[in-house]
Amino acid sequence: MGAQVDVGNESTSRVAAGATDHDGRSGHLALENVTKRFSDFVAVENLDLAIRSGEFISLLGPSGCGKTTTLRMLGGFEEPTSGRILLDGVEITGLPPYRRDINTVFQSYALFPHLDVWENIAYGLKRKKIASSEINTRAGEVVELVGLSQFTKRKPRELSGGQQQRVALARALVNRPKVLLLDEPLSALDVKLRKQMQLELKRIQRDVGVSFVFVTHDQEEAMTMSDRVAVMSKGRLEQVGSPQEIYSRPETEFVATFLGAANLLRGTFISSSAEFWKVKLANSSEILVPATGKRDGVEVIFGVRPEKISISKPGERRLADTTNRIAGRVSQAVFFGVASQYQVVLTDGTEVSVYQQNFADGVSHVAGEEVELCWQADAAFTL
Amino acid sequence: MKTASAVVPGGESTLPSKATSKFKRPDMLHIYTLLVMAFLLLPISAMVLFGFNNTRGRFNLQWQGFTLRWYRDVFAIGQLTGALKVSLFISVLVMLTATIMGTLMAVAIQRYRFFGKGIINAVLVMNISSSSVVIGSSLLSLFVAANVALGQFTIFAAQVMFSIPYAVITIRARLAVLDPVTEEAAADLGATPLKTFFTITLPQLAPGIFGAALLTFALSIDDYVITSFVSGTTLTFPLWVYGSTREGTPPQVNVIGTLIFMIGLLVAIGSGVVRERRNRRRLAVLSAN
Repeated sequence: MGAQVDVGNESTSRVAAGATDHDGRSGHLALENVTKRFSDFVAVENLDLAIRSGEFISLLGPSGCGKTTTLRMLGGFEEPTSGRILLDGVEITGLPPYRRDINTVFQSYALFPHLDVWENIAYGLKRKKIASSEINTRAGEVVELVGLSQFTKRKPRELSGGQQQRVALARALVNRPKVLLLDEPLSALDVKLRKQMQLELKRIQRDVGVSFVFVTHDQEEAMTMSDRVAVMSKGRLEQVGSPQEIYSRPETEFVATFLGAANLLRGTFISSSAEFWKVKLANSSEILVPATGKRDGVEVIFGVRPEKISISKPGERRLADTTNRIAGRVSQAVFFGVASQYQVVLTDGTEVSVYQQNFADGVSHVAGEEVELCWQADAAFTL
Repeated sequence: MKTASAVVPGGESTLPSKATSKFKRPDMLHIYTLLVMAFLLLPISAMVLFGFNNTRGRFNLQWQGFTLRWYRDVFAIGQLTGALKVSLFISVLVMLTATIMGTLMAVAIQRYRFFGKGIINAVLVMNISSSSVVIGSSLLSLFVAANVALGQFTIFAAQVMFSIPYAVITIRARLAVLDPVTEEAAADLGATPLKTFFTITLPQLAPGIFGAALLTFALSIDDYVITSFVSGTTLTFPLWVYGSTREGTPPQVNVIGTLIFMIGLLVAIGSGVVRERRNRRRLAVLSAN
């Protein structure tokens, strides 16, 4: 049992592992065709999502996309209108929150104001009728894990926002849940503390090995912390994948634009090779795009992220075969310090934005200048 | 500083005069506030003062010198003491019953949706806004028609009825500022709804419940109008006092009134001190972080 593990560097890794979880295969959560309707509003629609044991997965999307409703259904605070939820293969749909091996870190923390830090943390263990000696050991371990040892006698209102956040986390983790749900837990913190807590949450997750389901609307936060990101929009799952996958190979326009900036362009299909399609743009320049998207007739929609395009004076560069090159004119150059953003108008009037690191002082190209835009064919994505 | 005041001739005189004017000239608001406070405190002061009045006749209307004998003989009038005992007994029961029922109603109304909620809300408001005389007389007809013997039970029932709305309102006000997510958090941590109510909701409601208990006790021990209709031959403290006015109210009544007032005052001061101390501790701890 975790309680008997000696206090060393490795001990924290087992704190939340629980007595039966040593094989590391528990904490597998599956949503099967889950739909949630509130009278005439569909909050979540036909959601299929498998959460792997021990992974850090983010539900990412704008407000109202159904991510919080999804989390509340996992926690047992809302019942799906239809569909099933399974934890380690056992259906938990319809079980109240107090019968699920799942704990939640609430957005507002929801600490019990009349109990001190220690009592807050021990609350869940007491409900499970765990012996007081073991409560002491386990609560002691998580208090150590989140670094709150000096504060156990304080009331929540006597703690700073970051400390309250740690109590909320400790209070959930001490129960050794199979899955931990986190509902925008960092949104109440200021930017600096937020960055620090992101790293710390990630470390704790790695240490305890529990599956974390993390709800956020902040794409940067989701990408820094998660093993996988599930992007949601209007109650539907848009795409699931590693941060690199969803950033570099978005499958929908929504994912492409929600995760950072993207230039979305249209072209006409000409021919295909093993890896690439040859596409003709409106200004009749021909370029290569990855042959991965869905092709509806001859129209091809593809995207290039602004930082993947390099901007230079025409004919300045020698290019490989798989590099695309189009001509344009700078319409605007904005200096950001570390980089500059250039708006470039192609000969057909399409506007493309480009980020480029500032190698010299100030911007390298000025408005009105004729330039050439180049990018590796496989740096683009086809929708 | 010295050079500045020397250079600007007017500057020297304007600053001090502004500072002193605050003390010299009390503005209208201060006078008004003092008058209101005097108006509120005057009856209470008269009550306290005449409890120390060394009266000789039956009437306690003129100041005749200071004495403590009414405090010594506070329970000397058997009927008055009896009435007071009846009042205390009924009031404690009313306080307990109305507070418990009020708490449950407040939680139900504030937290759940159910059939008849609108009607309950309306009845609570109607109860407060109805005329006591009308309620008293209709209760009397009700009890007589239903053949219920008038006495301590009917007083108790009537007082519980008119106290409940005040308890509900006080506790609802407290519920409204509680974070309902703490109840979800308790469920999340394995607490059944009943366990959640007793370990999370109730302790957080404690100040509201305490307030409701004080309020219902005060309403009950003080009630004259409704009680007078349904009391039968039972005498409560207010009924006895009212009855005594014809032949002269003894100073013991002032003494008992003063004691009840002092208890209320101590409770109010005590809760203020507790709150102040908690705030100070919180500030100290937070600034030490």
